Amino acid sequence: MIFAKFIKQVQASYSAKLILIFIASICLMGTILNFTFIRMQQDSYATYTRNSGLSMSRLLAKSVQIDVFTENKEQLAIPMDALLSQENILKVEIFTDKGELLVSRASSESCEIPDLKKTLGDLPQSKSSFNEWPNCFSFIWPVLTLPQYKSEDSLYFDEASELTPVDNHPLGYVSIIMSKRQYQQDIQQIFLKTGLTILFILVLLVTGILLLFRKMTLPLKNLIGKIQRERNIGEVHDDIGLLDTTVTSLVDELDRSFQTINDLTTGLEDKVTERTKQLAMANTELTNRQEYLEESNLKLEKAMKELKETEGQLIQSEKMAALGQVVAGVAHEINNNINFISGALPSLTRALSDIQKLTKKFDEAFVQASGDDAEKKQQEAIALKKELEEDNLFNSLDQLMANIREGVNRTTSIVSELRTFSRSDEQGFKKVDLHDSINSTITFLNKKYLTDVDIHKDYGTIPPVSCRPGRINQVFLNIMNNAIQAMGKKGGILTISTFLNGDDVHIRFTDTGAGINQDTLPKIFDPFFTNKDTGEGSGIGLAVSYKIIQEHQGRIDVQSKEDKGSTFEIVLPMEHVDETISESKNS
Amino acid sequence: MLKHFVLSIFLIFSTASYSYGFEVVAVKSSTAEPYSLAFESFSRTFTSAVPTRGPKSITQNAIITRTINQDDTPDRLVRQIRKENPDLLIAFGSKALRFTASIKDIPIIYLLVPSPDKIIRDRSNVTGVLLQPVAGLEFRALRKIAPALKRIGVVYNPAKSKDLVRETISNNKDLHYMLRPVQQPQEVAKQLDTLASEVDLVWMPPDSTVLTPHTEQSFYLFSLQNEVPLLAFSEKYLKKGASFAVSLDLSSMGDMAADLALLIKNGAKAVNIPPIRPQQVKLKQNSIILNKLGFHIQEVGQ
Repeated sequence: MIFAKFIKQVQASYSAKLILIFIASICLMGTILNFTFIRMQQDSYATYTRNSGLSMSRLLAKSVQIDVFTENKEQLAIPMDALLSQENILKVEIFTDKGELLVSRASSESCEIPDLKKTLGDLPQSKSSFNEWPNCFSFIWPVLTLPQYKSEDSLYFDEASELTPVDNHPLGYVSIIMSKRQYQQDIQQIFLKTGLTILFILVLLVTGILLLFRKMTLPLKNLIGKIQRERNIGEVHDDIGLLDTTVTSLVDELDRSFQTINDLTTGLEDKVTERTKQLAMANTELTNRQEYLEESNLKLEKAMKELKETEGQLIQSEKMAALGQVVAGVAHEINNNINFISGALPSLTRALSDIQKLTKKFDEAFVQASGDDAEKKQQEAIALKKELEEDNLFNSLDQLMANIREGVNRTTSIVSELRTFSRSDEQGFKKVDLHDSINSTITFLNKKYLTDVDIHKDYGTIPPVSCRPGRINQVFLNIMNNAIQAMGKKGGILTISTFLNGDDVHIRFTDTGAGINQDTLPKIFDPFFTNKDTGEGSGIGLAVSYKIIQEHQGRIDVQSKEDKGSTFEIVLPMEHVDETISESKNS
Repeated sequence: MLKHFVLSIFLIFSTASYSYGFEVVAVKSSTAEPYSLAFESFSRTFTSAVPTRGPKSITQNAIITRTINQDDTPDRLVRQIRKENPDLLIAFGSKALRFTASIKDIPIIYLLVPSPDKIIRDRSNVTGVLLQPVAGLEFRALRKIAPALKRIGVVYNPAKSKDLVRETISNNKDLHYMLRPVQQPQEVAKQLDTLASEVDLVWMPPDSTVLTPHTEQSFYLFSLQNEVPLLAFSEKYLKKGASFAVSLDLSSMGDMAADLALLIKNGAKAVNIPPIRPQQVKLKQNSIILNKLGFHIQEVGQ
C-alpha cells in the first residue's frame, strides 16, 4: 500500500522522478566505481606483493651469490633463517644450477605446490618466476655469476670496461614460498574500507542531491502550486503535464494576444492619423483661444488698471468726503469759537470807545488843562470814570477778553486736533498713541448725528502702535460715523474700549444702534454696499477701512444683532512687519 | 753534365716526404687514467732528453698516440702504425702489446703489462718495464710502518703465482707465511676461512685464479670478520675494502720507459735490453678500514 502510494507520488512529480533517476544513477556509478576501485587496489596490491616477493628473492639471490658459488650451506642458512622469521614466509629454498636442493628452510605451516624442480626445469635461464597457488605465492630468482675481470690488466687498473659480462648461466636459484593469508586479509580489508568509503560518499552525495534538488525544484513546485491555485486544480497527477497544458494554453493566449495586437496595429495608423488631425485642430483652437485669452488678458489688465484708477478715485472721493466732513466739523468748531470773539467784539468796541473817551477826558484834564478848568475837567473825568465803573466797564472788558481767549484757545485746540487727525502718512509707519488718534477723530465726527449720542471711553493700557496714523484715523472716523449714524436721532451710547491681548492691540467700538441684518452682515465690507439712504453714504467707507486694516496686517471683527447694536473690533499688531523685506529675507 | 747531375739530385730531394727526427708511436690499451699518466711522464722525459743530432736533427721529434677502442682490430692497428713508419713503438698495457704482436721489425717497449712473457713469447724486438716491483718490496715497506704484522696468510694458485710467492718469501725471511694453495676460485673462501685466527695479515697476490669478482668479496669479508688487515697489490682495492695497497709509481715507470727508448734511439737493440723492474714501492692505507679493524694511524706509524 505504502509502496503503491510512493509509486503514485513519484509518477505525479517530475522532480521526484528526476531525483530517483539521479540517485539510482549515482548508486549504480558508485557500485561500479566501488568494484573498479577494489579491483584496481586488488591488482595494485597483488602487483605490490609480487614485486615485494620478487625483490625479496632477488636480494636473497644477491646476498647468497658467493655462498652458492662456494656451496657453503652454513652461510646460506643464515639469510634464509632471517627471512623465515617473517610471519608470512613459509619456506625458503636454494637450488643448484642443476635444480638440486642445496638448502631448505621451512616454517611449521605448509603449502601444497608442485615440484619446484620441475618449475626450475621449465624456467628460462636467468629468468625469475612468480606463481600464485591456492594458499601461497612462490618466487624464484636465479643466483647469477658475477662478471669476470676482462684481462689481467684489470687486476691492477680500473679500466673503462674492465668487467666482462659472463654467460647467463646461473649459479643456482633461490625460492621463497609466501603465505597468502596476510594477502587475503589485506584484500578483505581493502574491500571493506573501499566499500565503506564509497558507501559513506554515496550517502553524502544522495543527501546533498536531495537537498540540492529540493532547492532547485522549489521554483517549479511554487509554479505548480500557483497554477493549482489560479486554476482551482485539486490534486495533481502529473505536474509536468499540468505545466505543459498551462504553457500550451498560455502560448495560445499569447498567439491570440499577438493577433489582437496585429489587428490593433493595423487600425492604429488610421487612428493615429485621425487623432493627429484632431490634435492639430485642437492645437489651432488652442492657439486661437490663447490669442483670445491674451487679448482678454490685455483687456482685463486695462480694466484692472481702470478699476484701480476708479478705486483710487473712489478712495480719493471718500477721502475728500471725510475731509469735507472734517472741514465741516472744523468750520463748525471754528465758527463756534469765532462766535466767542465776534460776540465780544461790539461790547469790546463799546468798551474801547468808553476807554478812549475816558482816556481823552483824563488827557484833557490832567495834561492839557490848567487852572480851574483843569480841575473841572478832572472832576468830569473822575465822574466819567465812576459812571463807567458803575457800568462794569472793566469787569465786562475782562469777561470779553476771557471769551475771546476761550475762543482762541478752542480754535487752537481744534487746530491741534486737526493736526493730530491729519498727520501725514508720507513718512510711512510710525509709532502712534491710538488713544490720541481716537480722541482727535471724535472731534471731527459728524455733528449732525452726534447730538443724542454719548461717547464712553473705556481705554486700557496699550502701547504705541506702529501704523500710518492718517489711514487709521480715517478707519476710526468711518466706524464711529457709522455707529452714530446707526443710532440716529434715537441716540445711544458709543462705547470705545481698548485693550492689549498678546502682541495685538484691540480697539472695540460698540454702539446701541439699529444693528445689521444677518443676511447683510457678510456684505458690509463689499465696495458700494450700503444700507443708508441715498446721499447718506457712498458704500465704500467700510471697504476702504477693511483694506487699510489689511495693509496694517490686522483685521476687523464685526458682531451685530438687529435692533441691539453692533460691535466693530479692530485688531492691530503692535509692530508692523514690512512684508516686502520679510519676503526678500525668506527668499 | 755537372748541371744535369746537380739538378737530378735536387729533383730526388724534392720527391722526399716530410719526415720527423725520431718517430715514436705510443699505443694505449684504453683511455684508463694509469696509461695516460704513464704516457705523459714518458713523453715529457723522452722529449726533453732526445738530442737533436744527425741528418734528421733539423726536424722535430714526434710522438704519435693511438688508443685502442672497442672496434679496433690488431690488423687495422698495425696498418695504421705502418703508415706512420715509426722508429719505436711504446705499448701501454697488455692489449696494446698483444695488438702489436705481429710487428717484428720495429722495436717495442711495453709498459704496465702484468704478464708480458705470455704475449712476447720468442720475439726479439720487445723489451719493457715490468709492472711488478721486485718481489717482497711491499713487505719491507709494510714492516716499517707495522712491524707487529708477522704472520702473513697467502692464498694463491701455484700454477700462476708460485715464483712470485717464492721470491717474496725469500726476500722477507723474517716473516711467517701461511700458504693456502688453491686450484679454483671456489676454493678461495674455504681456504681463507682456514686462516682465521692464524694470521696477522692476508696478502692478496696478483693471481687471476685467486682474485675474481666472487673471491674478491671473500677477502674483504674475511678481513672485516676476523679483523685482519688485507694487503693488496694495487691501489684500486683500497676503496673496495683492502687495508693496505701497493701504489705503483706511474710517473717513475714512464721515465724508465723513456730511458729504454733513448737506448734504442741511440742504437741499442731491444733484444739486448732486458726488462727492468720498479726498484721501490710506496704503500697506501685505507684509514677508515684500519680504524675499524683497530689499527689506528698512530699505531700504523709506529
